Amino acid sequence: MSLIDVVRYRMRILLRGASHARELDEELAHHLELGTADAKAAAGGAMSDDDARLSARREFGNSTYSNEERRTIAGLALLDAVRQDVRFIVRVFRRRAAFAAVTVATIALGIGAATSIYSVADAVLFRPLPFPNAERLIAVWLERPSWKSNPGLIKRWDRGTLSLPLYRGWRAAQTSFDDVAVWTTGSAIAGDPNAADEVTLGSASASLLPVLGIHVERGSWFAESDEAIGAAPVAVMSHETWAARFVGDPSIVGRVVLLDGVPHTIIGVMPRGFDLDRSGTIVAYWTAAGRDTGGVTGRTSFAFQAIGRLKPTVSLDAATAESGRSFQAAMANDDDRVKGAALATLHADQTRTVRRPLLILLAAAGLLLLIACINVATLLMGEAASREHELRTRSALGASRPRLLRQLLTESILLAGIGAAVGAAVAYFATKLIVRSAPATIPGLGDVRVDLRVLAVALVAAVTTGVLFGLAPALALTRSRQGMGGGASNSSVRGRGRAQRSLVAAEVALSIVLLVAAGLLVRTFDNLSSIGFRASDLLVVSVRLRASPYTDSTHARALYADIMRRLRTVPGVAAAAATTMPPFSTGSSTTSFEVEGHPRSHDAPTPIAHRRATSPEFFATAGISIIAGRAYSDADRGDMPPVVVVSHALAQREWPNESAVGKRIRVNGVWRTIVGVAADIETERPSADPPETFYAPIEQLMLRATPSLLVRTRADAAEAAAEIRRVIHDVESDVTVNRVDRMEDLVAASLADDRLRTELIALFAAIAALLAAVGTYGVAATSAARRTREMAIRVAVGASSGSIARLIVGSAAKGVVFGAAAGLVLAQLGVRVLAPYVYGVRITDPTVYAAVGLLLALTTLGATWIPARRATRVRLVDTLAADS
Amino acid sequence: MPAKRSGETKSDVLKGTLEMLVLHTLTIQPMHGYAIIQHIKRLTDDALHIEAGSLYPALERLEKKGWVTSRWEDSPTGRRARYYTVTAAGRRQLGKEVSGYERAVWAIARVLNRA
Repeated sequence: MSLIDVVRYRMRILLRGASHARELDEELAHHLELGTADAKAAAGGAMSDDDARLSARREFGNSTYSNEERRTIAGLALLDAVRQDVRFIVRVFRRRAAFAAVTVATIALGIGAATSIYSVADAVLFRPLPFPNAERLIAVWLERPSWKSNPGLIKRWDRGTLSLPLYRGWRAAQTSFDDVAVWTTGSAIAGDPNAADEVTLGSASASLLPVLGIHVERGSWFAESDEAIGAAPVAVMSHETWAARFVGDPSIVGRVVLLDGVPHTIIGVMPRGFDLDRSGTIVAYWTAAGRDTGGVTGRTSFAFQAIGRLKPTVSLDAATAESGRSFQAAMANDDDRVKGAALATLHADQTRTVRRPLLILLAAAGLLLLIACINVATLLMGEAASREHELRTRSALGASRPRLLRQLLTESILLAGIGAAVGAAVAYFATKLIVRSAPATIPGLGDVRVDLRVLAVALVAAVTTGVLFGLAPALALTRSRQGMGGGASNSSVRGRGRAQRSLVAAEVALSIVLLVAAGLLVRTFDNLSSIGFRASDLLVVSVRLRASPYTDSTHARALYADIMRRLRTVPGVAAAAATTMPPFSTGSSTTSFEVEGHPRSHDAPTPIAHRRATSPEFFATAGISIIAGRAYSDADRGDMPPVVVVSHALAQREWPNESAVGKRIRVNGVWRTIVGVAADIETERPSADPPETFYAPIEQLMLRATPSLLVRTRADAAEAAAEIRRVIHDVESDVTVNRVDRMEDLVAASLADDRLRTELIALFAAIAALLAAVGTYGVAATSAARRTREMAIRVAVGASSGSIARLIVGSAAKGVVFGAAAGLVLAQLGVRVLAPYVYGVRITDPTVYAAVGLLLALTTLGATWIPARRATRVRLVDTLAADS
Repeated sequence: MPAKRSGETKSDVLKGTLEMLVLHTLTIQPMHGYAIIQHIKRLTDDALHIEAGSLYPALERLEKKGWVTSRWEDSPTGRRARYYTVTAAGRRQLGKEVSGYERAVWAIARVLNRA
């Protein structure tokens, strides 16, 4: 038979799918009709119609078999079976809508959570960097042990950046890398200097692209000669800038662009999406490092991040040792005691701070998925138990075991499939939400997407769950059917009850781990949120002065006094102050000082504290209370005796047993009298140790940075901000407003990763608790259903409804109690990974564990109460009626 | 398989010969299922019994292979009946099966020393 015939036959069958069945029935009817007539004729009229029909049927044989055989031959049998199954399942689902909905929701939540977190982790942690042999790209840092004693630098002591001379010395001497490169980023005004079009500006050594192993998209990258002092200024433009600002102008190479007023010749265009530190901000222009002699990108500042391409034959340890030696040699004339080098692969370096939190989140999501799977298993088992009767009936009516198995399997796969589909949607939106609320400091967030690969994994997970947990009870069920005649086999029922209880115990145990973790993080977040001053209604106005405040501080001070005077006349402004290094803004400034009457041994490091020059209104404006002495006032002018206010933490450190007020410290050679002690505030990110700080009047302290303005508003912050900009713009031609931030936003941004972590884990824990409750409910409900008759008899012989309820609650609670005990132990071990992220609360904090226990007890009671109550209402008569 | 009935006077159709018999029967004229059974019954004086439960699946198989086609026509009783017709491919197949069968019968007879 030719292929065409096969196709034609198939097509006909498919097209006539339903009519095929009808035709078979009609053909059969016709056959029986003729048979009946013949039978009657043969009996010569001595036969009733019914007998004749019966005889014809007997003659025919098994007509159902014949038709099914024909459907099989026609290739429609499977179609029939699936269609039947689906139709049946839809009926089952409709009847058990709650069960189906809960199962689908459970799977969807588990898959959604796991998939979205995995998508983020995949983009941030697992996907390799987009460079050839990226695993050999090494970030190289300078270790500076002397920074360890400086509170402002201690976090960065092993992440020191390089200066250009150091880089050159190192590059010439090093033997571990094929080549090394340096780069840094800053900002510049592109184009018309007055248009204030600020762009990110990169500065890189000519070796950067060769080290990375990539090429410019068009034109060329820098040559070594471009790095020479006085070389003609050239720049390489980002693809994005080229496309957006120069509409992809094909003759871009050779054009001249003003960067900070200096004409730069464009020599090339970077490849699309070049984002070396995966910050999400693409550097608009790259310039050659070293051409320039001053500023952040200049040759004298330690501003350059180093990167090298490790030789294939050199280990990371060997390279670390060798780089350390090279650094030592290159900095032999420097007075800083350089200890060595810190090396890590570029990828590890970028994900250093986010790896662990993300893995914790991933583990939490995995835990949730596991809980969801267990929950589905309990649900399916409970469901199977309550359908025993139905299945037994169907099997008695001739349904074969494979057929029943397939039916149950189709059911659970269908549930899992729907769950996975809903879960995919959940994942899609959840991922978007996470990316939007995640702190921008997470590298690679821009690349996060729920891709097909991840979805496929999720789908496989869901269907595996469905098959595994749908098949197990199905097998148990159909097996138990074979072993028993009519009555329920008690041992198998009891065994299933036990299995179900164990599953719930596991579910409860895992939920407790998540709940404890969430409890600790929520407590931590509460602690973190106290920063020591009122952030609400507070604006931080950062300004730029035309003349550097360092060179002409008298002029700068007059300027600030004038601005503040005018600001206070703005209706929406309640208070205004000036301060260097405003809290929660970039940067901190530290200084060493000397304490009167505290002699130090010669080699002990001098004490160091954060310093802040403020106007007298600073404390009142920010809402920082003075806990001893006084704040300085307008009377503490430049020509008056130098005064200083110290923070509580600094006072505690230097004068632990006496009052600090009246003591003197020497800063930059000037003795200052402590007139007051201010309450501690957080300035960077809440931590266990508040920064030790001293404050001095702007009038009296050398300005090392441009002071910002702190404004407390009365009314709408946005309106006030506009007004502030206008006032400053109108009045002061020497001052431009860089940006206005709400302090609340700045604080929130500093807590963004804590918040995200806390919220996600709290959400996971809440879902887990809910699932555990559903699981417990399921167990209680099936146990109640199974023991209906027993309960009815108990009631009939006089058991109180209380004792019945206790029985049901007790049997379900057994699993819960066991799970809870195991969970508390597990949690003790598991939450240790959280230790670095828990602050102000011990990870063994009893209140957290107690609260979790209480929450669980209540949920469990609540979950078992409904079936327990139902059980107390059964009447013996009804159960007997149900069996007859 | 349906329960098979065996009897002294009736013998089941030899395996593999049912399709051949059906094809041959249909070369006489298009017939519906019941008529096929009756025809074979009549020819063999009831000696060869074909069960409807086997015939219809066989017809389905033949149709699937393209050896017969079927269409619905009004039967003499006035009711719509499904008539099967043998196709050209079916006739070729029948030829092959008949010669194969004859060879087999001859071979068996030789073994039994009857030819």
